[in-house]
Amino acid sequence: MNRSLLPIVLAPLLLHGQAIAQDNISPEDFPTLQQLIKPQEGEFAWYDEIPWMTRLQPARERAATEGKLLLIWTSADGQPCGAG
Amino acid sequence: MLTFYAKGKDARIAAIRDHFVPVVLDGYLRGDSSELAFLKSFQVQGNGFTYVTAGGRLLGHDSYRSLESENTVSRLQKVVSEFNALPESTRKPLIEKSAPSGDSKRIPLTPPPGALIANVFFTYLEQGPQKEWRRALWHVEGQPGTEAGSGHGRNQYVTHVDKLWITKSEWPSLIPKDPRPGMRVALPASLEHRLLRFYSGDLARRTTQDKLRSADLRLTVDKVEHNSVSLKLVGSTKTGCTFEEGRPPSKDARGHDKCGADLRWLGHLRYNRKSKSFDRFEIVATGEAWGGGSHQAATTNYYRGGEHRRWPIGIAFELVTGERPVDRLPPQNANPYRTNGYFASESP
Repeated sequence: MNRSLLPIVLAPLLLHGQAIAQDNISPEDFPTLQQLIKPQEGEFAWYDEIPWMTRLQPARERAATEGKLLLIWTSADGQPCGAG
Repeated sequence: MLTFYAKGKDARIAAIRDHFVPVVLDGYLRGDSSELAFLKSFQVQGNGFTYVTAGGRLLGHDSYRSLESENTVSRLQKVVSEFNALPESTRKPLIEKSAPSGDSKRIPLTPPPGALIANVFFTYLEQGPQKEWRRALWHVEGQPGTEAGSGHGRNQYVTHVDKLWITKSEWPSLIPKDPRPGMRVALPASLEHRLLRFYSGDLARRTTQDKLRSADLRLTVDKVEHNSVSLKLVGSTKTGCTFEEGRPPSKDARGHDKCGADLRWLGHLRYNRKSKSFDRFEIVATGEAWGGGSHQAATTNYYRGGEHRRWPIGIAFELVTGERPVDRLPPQNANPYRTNGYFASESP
């Protein structure tokens, strides 16, 4: 993959608990791990910044009212916006 | 899930947001009978984007991968220009509001009324040279996707997103009637089973064959205040097959290596007594996973060299309001084409 497309901040984050499978998650590590696991800045822009509709009929009605073109994004293997 | 990475202020996103009505459809659940009939009236791009008027006039389509190209914005602008050149009756056709057809077989599930909805994020982790934890890129490096015709490109994403639904019959039971710090709170059996069955492993792998080796998830009252009750979730889970060093896992019925995961959990929940709802639902689970078929996008790199080892993973749950349509998309394993019994207390 072209790494230049990744704006993600992949800075290493030091954790208090080092053995990720054996040690309990420490309260001090909790926010760091959250930050590490959740989408990084810009990564979910296509998900967050585009007001995707999820049903076709209301989208058609809105497109007709606003005089806009429909852009239908579909995947052969589930839901393109995840959870598919 | 197919993800596109934005580069700073992304003109592609602005073009779609400003000039289109964007709609995202599950390939298996595209809509009711009238919506399916509309889609059959023109050629829909199976993995990608279709540009069509509200009345069904097709103006083009693109593979999702082609939108990574430098020409994306001009491509979108060209389609919009073609659209704008059409007569107003075509751009603004009269669309009759259709009554619910009662045909729910191809309609995505919606959250049960009053359900608590959480985003579930999943990613791969690794330790760097200083033993520091960081996001892993092994599953995206060297994978196809950015060059036309180079492959399916499913490995382009780093964070997976799923949903967790907790029903209105479940989440109120997380709040004791007389909460006191240290009080143990029983997780509803159906919720615990859901967490163990669907969210306690490599979520890109999707399954641990429903096998549970051990689980100890303890929810306790952490703090009681006038307007809120805070809860803490601590525990560990072991799902799927065991990992044996130097000995590849046995095969499942499809001939794929069985997989497994060991996770540690920590979560913070807060119930707002005034709004009578949870205003914090943050859980993190970290650990290691292993196994899976070589066809699996997420594990392809590990299996390319026939390597058998554990890989660190992280899962984060976070409450969403459900106001956006994408926030109300169903959990992947609530979909009938994936598994059965999402809300059940035991596996079917």
